[in-house]
Amino acid sequence: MIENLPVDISSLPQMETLEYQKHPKRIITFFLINRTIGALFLLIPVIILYFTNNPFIAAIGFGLWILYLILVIINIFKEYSRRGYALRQHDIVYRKGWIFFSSIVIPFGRIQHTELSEGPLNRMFKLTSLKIYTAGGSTSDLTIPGLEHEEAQRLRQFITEKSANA
Amino acid sequence: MSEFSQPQRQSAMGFVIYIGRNIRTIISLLLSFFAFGALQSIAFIFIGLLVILGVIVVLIFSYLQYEFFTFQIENDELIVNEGVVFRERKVIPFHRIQTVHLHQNLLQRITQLVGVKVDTAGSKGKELEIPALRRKKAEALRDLLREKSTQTITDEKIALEGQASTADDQNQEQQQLVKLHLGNLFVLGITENHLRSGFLAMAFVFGYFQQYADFVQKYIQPKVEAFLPEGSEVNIPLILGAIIVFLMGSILISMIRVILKFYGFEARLIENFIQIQSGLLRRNQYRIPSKKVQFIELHTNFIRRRLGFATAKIYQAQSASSDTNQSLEIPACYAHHQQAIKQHLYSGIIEAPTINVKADAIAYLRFGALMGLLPMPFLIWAAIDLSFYLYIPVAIFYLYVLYSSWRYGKTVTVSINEEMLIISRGWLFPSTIIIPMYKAQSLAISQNIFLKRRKLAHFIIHTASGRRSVRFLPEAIVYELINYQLAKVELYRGELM
Repeated sequence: MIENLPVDISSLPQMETLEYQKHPKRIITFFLINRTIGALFLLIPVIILYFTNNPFIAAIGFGLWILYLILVIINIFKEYSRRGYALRQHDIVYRKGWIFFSSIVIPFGRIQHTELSEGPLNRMFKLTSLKIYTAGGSTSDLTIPGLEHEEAQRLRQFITEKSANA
Repeated sequence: MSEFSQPQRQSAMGFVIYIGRNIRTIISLLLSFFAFGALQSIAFIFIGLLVILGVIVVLIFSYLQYEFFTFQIENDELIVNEGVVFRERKVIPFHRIQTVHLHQNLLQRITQLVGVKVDTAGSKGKELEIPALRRKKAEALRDLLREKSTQTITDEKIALEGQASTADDQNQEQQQLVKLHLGNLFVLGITENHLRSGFLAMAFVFGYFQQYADFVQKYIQPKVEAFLPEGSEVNIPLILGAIIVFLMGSILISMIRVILKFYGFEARLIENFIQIQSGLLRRNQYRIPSKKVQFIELHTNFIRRRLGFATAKIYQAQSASSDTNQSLEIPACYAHHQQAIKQHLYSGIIEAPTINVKADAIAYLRFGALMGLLPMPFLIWAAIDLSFYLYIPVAIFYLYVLYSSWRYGKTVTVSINEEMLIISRGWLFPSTIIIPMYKAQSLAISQNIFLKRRKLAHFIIHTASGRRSVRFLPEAIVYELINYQLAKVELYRGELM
């Protein structure tokens, strides 16, 4: 028999007043390089415009690109103190973003599998990414981008145990 | 030993099915050959030779495809060998089988053959099709696969045994839900969203003829232009005429679409399944196990709401590759049908919502005002270039965007009761989404800095059949929604899919 007691909303655990674990400080540099490389791809259409005799539109595009890059850089610094994860008894919470803030909760019972990954840039900074997969498709998956290797492994171990028992 | 334990070919008429498929894949190629030939004035004999060559290749290839396709059942696995150039062996263990369904397209109906499609959970490209079996054999295979695939899951076994005790009720539990007659189809067709059908058709036609753009320009355009009046002045009768033709065409397309899709539609509620079959040229039969259903969505429009019916979309958990038909539709659901579906899927746990929360309508208005500005530079530029009077429709368009986003915002409501999350919204096209809270895979809140200042946020729920979000809810409410649902997810101990 499944017990199904009514839940008092005010007594529920609150996710907004949690202690969040921050990433190591060097993730700022990591993001600066990573995001700049990403932004460089956006420059391709501008370059094409410039060489196809549209220097005026290309100039506007370049201006917009600089603006975008500045916002991205400010965002990286501003969000550092907000970006982080919190573990609770039944779920993991991850939050990020300054201009676009978001926070996602995945109950351990819904986790399908986890993955540790290190790209070339990751390795340069000795950072490890932890990916958490659910059955909810790619938008529902969670990537925690830069953790100490030790920490990532411990976190993964913890999650795997929890999700097996949930 | 079953009749499938030996490797075997499909019905001999399967040859014809493969011919049909191959012709369909190369028809586009053939057409472009013709267009190209007409353009370059290459001798028709040459094209004729190409066509004959093509036909011979198709015939041989189809025969080989038929010849090389074998299937069998061995050691609780379905094994299919196929491929002409690259031989491929697909093995699907029974416990991985998610759904098995039968379908028939026009050619399959003429040859009286049935296709069997087997879908598995997870990995891409892991579904397989046996396209040409005699009806009896197809049904036997389906039943065998279904039986075997449920046997391997112990939890399901228990559920089946539990039901055996109430076997007497089972026969009565098979209940016809919706059956559509021609009259229903007509009502459905006439109340479709014609503008959408029209634009979809236009997009399709443009997309298709883009390939033959050169041909169209050279041969068809001069002929069309001869009919058009001189000059490029805005011509009111011409525009009106075009609009009327567009509308008539759209209605016609809606009708045809509805009839093709829903001819002979029948939905049944059986034990713990929903069974749906429909289609004029291509007949499909689906069975969805109730526990695989992640959520349902009721769509309607302002006319259909007057008439009192909606389309129920049923979203089920499926493998990543087949996201095209993740939802199944049951059109023409009147209130009592909707009630029956809810009862069937969520028996006992559907009650009147206890808490209703409205989204911030002004935030929707603000958002609409901003989004409506995006196409403005282009529209204004067009107005400068063409005619001053175009400002009037541009202004009307903007006002409409403002008004409709405000009306839309006023309708957005999130309701919860013990077990269900109910999202209802839409002004001209209202929809209601009913999600059992425990089906959530993950939950999220998002907001930008402007919303943060106004203490508003978006709420996002991910399920195994896609995500749904509600924009512009009060921030505190979103956190409460998430906390409450998490508690529900953690309390739930049953099966998800």
